[in-house]
Amino acid sequence: MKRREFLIGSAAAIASRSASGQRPDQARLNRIGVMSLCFEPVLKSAAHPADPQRTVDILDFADMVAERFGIHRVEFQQTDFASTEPAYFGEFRSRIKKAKSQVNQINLEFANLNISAKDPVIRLEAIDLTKTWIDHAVALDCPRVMVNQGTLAPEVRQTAIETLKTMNAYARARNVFVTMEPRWRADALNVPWDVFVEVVKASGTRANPDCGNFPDTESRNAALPIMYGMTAGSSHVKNIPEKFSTADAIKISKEAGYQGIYTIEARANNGPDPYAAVQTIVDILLANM
Amino acid sequence: MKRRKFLIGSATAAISGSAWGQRPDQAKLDRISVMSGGLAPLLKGTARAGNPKATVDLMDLAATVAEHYGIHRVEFQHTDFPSTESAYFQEFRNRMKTVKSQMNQINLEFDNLNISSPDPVIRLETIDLTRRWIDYAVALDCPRVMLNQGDLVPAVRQTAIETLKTINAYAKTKNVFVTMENRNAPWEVVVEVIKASGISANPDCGNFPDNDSRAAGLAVMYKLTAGSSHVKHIPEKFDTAEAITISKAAGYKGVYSIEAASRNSPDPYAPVQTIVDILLANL
Repeated sequence: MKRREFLIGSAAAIASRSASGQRPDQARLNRIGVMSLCFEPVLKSAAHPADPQRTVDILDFADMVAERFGIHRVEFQQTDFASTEPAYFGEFRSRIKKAKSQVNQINLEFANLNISAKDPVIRLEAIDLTKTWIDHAVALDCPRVMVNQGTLAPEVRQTAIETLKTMNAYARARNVFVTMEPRWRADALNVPWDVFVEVVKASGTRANPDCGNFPDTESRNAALPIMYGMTAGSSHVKNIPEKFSTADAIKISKEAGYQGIYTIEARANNGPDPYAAVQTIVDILLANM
Repeated sequence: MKRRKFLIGSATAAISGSAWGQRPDQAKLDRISVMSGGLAPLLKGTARAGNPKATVDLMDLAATVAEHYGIHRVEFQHTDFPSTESAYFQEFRNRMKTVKSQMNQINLEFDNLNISSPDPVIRLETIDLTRRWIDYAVALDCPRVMLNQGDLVPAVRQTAIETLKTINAYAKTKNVFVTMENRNAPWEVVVEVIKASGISANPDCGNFPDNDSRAAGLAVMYKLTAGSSHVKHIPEKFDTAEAITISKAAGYKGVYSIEAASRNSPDPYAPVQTIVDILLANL
C-alpha cells in the first residue's frame, strides 16, 4: 500500500481503558478503524431531527471516536455526508485533522446504480457517480472507496469487470484505491466468494475482506487467507459469536501476513448501546492482533 | 444569452431542398436544431442491432443532420452517449467541429435521481451527477443542460428549488445554462421554480394540456429561455405555426430544437423534415 500517506501514528489521544483495565497499545489502536454505521442510532439526521438519542454530528464523529476509544481512523458511508460542496468538505477535513484522524474509506451505496446493471446507461451513471466520489475522497484525504458490486451474475459479470476497470483507472490516477467486500445475506442470491475474487483480480481492484460475510466457517476459512492477500490495507471486522469466532478470523489474517487496518462494523446484533458494541470488538482486536 | 460563443452561422452545407423545392434560408436554418430522438431509428446501438436502417454512429449524427437538412445544431440525451471518457468526448467534439456544428443542449434523464426527491441522499446524488454532466457539456462545447425536474409537488418544492440553486451555481461558473421544460407539473409551477432558482426555461409547445394553457404558458416561458426551446408537431392537438407566432410575439430570438417522433415512420427523415418546413415557413 503506497498510494496515500497517512497522518496518524503519533496521535496521543486520551483513550478509554480496555476491558482488562490496562492502557491500550497505541500502535495496535492505530490499526483499528470505526465505521460510522456502528453509530447510526446516535448520529444526527435530517430525517429524524427530533430524536433525542441522536446527539453526534457527523462532523464530530472522528473527534468522538478518538476521545472515546483512542482510535484515529474512521470510515463513512457516502450517505452520511450532508453536502458535497467544497466548503463542507473543507470543514469536514479540518475537523478530521483537528482530531488527528484519517478517513479510512468511503463506502458507496448507489442502489441500482452499480457495476452489475444490465443497462449500459445505468453502468455509465454508476461510473460517473463513483468518479465523483473518488474526487470527493481526494478532497477528504481518504485513500479508498468501496463500491457495492451488485449481483455479479454470470450474464453481467464481464461488463461488470469492464465497468470496474474504468472506475479503477480513474481512481489510480488520483491515488485512490477501489475496493469491494464479499457480501452474503441469508435471504439473498449471493455471489460465491471465489467468483468475487475472480472479479477483483480481473478488474485490478482490491478486496476489503469482511469476516462476517460468509455463509459458513468452511468458506470463511478458505476465502479470508486469499482476500487478506488482496487488500488495499483495510478490512471489516464483525462480531457475531453465534456464527463464527472473530478471534479466529483475526488469526487467519495474521497468517496471511496482513499488516493493514481492521475497521469495526458493529450492528444491531451487537446490542442496543453502540459504544459498548464497538468497545467489545476493540477489545477482541487488541487481544488478538 | 452571453455565456458561450457559437461556431455556426457561416456554415455552407449541401442541403436538401425544402418541401416546396426552394433553397432554405440559411439564417433561418441556423435557428433550428434537431434532437437525436427524432432520428433514433437511424442510430446504431445495441437496442437496434440488426436493423438495416440503423446505419449512423452517434458521432456522425451531426454530419447526417448537416448533410440532410442543412442544420448545424444537434441536441442529445445523456443516455445517447456510450462513454463519458475524455478521449471519447474529444473525438465527438472533433466530429462536430468537422461539420461546423454545435451541440445545442444535453438533456439529462436520471430517472428517480431528480430534484423533487424527498430523500436528501438522492438529491445529493442528483447534484453530483448533474455537475458531472455540466463538466461534460463543457468538454463538448455545449451551452446548456436540461434536467428532468420530477413532480415538483408542494411538499418537495422548496428543497427542489434549493437543489436547483446549487446545481445552477456550479453551472454558472462553467458558463453553462441549466434549463427545464414544462412537464410533470402545471406550467405556472414550473415557471415559479425556474424564477426562484435562477435557471432558464426550455419552452415545449407540445407539453400543455390545452390551447389556453399553451397560449398563456408559452408567452411567459419564451421570455425566460437560455436561447433554446423544443418544437413538436401534433396537428390533432395544436397548431405548431401558432406556437411559433407566440414565440415571435414574445420577442424570442433563440433556437427551435425539433422533437419529432419518427419511430413508426417508413422514412426516418420525414418527421423531422415536416417540422423543418413548418419552422422555415413561420420563422
